[in-house]
Amino acid sequence: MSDSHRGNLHLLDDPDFKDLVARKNRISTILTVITLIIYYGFILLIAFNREVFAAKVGGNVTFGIYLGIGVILACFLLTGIYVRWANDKYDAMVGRLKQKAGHGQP
Amino acid sequence: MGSLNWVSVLFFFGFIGVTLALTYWAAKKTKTAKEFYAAGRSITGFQNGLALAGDYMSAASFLGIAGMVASQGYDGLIYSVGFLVGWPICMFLIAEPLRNLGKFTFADVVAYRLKPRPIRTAAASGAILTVIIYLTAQMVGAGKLVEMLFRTTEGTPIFKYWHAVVGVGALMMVYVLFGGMKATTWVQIIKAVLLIGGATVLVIMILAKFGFNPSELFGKVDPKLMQPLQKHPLDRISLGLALMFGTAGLPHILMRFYTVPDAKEARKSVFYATGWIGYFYILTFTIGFGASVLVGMDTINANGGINMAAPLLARTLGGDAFFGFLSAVAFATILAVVAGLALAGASALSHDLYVGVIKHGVATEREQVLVARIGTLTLGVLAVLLGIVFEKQNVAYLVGLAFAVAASANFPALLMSVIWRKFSTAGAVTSTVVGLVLAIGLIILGPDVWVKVFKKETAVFPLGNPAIVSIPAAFLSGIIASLCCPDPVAEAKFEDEKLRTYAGLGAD
Repeated sequence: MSDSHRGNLHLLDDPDFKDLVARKNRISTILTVITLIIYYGFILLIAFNREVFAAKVGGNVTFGIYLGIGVILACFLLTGIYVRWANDKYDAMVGRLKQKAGHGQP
Repeated sequence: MGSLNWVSVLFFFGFIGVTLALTYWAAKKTKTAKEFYAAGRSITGFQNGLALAGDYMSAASFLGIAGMVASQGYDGLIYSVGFLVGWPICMFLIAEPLRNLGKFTFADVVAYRLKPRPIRTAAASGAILTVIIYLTAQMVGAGKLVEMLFRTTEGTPIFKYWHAVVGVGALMMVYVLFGGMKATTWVQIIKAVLLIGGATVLVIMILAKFGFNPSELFGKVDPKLMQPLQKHPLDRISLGLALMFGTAGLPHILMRFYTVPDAKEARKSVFYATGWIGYFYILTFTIGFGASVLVGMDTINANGGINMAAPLLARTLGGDAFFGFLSAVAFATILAVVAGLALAGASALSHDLYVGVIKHGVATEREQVLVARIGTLTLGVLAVLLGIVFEKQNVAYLVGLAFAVAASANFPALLMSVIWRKFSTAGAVTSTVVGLVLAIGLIILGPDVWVKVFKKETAVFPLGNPAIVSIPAAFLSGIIASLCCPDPVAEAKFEDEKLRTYAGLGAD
């Protein structure tokens, strides 16, 4: 196991590193909770009000079909939001930290 | 033999020819352990996204979900949604720490600051069991499918069940033994493109029948199919938990994150995978509803049962040629998933158990690769034997069981090791063992095995899926054991582990 970060333990007390950990944990928690709410909202609706799924919404397509596709799209969107954030913000923060650590390249 | 489906045979051998050529090419670049297990970390995020999709879209999700939607309607769609929601969870909680902390297996992550030998023993047991259960389901599926798909026009099967099982086992072993992760990855990518492409064409053909107006299609679907079935809410929630957290505990999925160079590519690959898989599931349930209207359940039941819904629809819409193409794609699908599973099982056997436990982490490159190949051979032979032994069993519950074990034995220990400072060796071992025993025990005591296999009157455990009990139990027992038997050395390492978890400093 590579231990090349051993010389960088001072970074643990760096406010930038603490900020990075806090931000990453916050966004991961928020997005996880949103995913859980969307999915278990869907499951509980199935469990307790299954009639609503057969309701027709414009033409013959039912509410349930829109909802199923909606949950799938929401998953894709949420992972997209995370990747967007991580590529823009997170990687920049990691990059700055690595400079301090003396690792020039990201 | 005069009237067998030549298109099917052509595609079938075309796929085998191309993948064997790929394996030959990959074999030259597969010398070290890093090349064998992780394709030399040379796969891009986009490629890995497709390969993850290839690993995940098994025949169970293609043929199984299309068939379930055709026969039970909306409940099949619920399954496909459940299979997808694990991906965002995997992205937010697991993918990047896994890539930053580990080398080849998820046990690397759990063992990072805990005592390696007990951790690797427990984690590898969870991984190997998950793999064997999933592998058995795929092998039996492969045998049945080949028997049904490859028939003469008079309806006589061209291949016997065991021919298919041995054939799949042998081909998979060639891919993995010689081509390692590189060949396996490209087999997954080719299969994913074929499967998504084939399903897209099929959906376009369905929609063409209805003037490209989905409303016309759904107007013809039996209204009973548009509503979820009456099931106990706990059953729904328990299955939901297993599907959601199982994905982030499947060894063959987790292993794929080591094939990319860094955490950035790992996260990109989850994004692409989620997109491809989500798109594929939308296609799959459209195919299911299409089959219920255009083929009809009577024809499906008379021609091999619900797993044949998608291929029969292909025959109705595109004739024998398209049926042949889709059958070959379904076969390629199984082959690719089986190869991915075998590689994951072999890595747990060799990297975790042999090198990590028996050799205390010290082994030469040559030795590591040799043992990984022996592990592959062992798993391949085992998979063929299990496939033959379980021929007469209904194995639908095995995929559910694999997800339940992954969600209960692998996921809780993995997550706690990354996020909780006080998580100790005793906690990790307890959590894994409790999750494993409860997941398997409650499935045996539940309706799928206790009633359907053992023919008992009522199930001891009333739910079809144990996750609602086994996942919380795995977390709780892990927490209690960690608090009772703390690991001060591991706690002290948590802070500097963070540099690697969050910033990738020192990552392999």
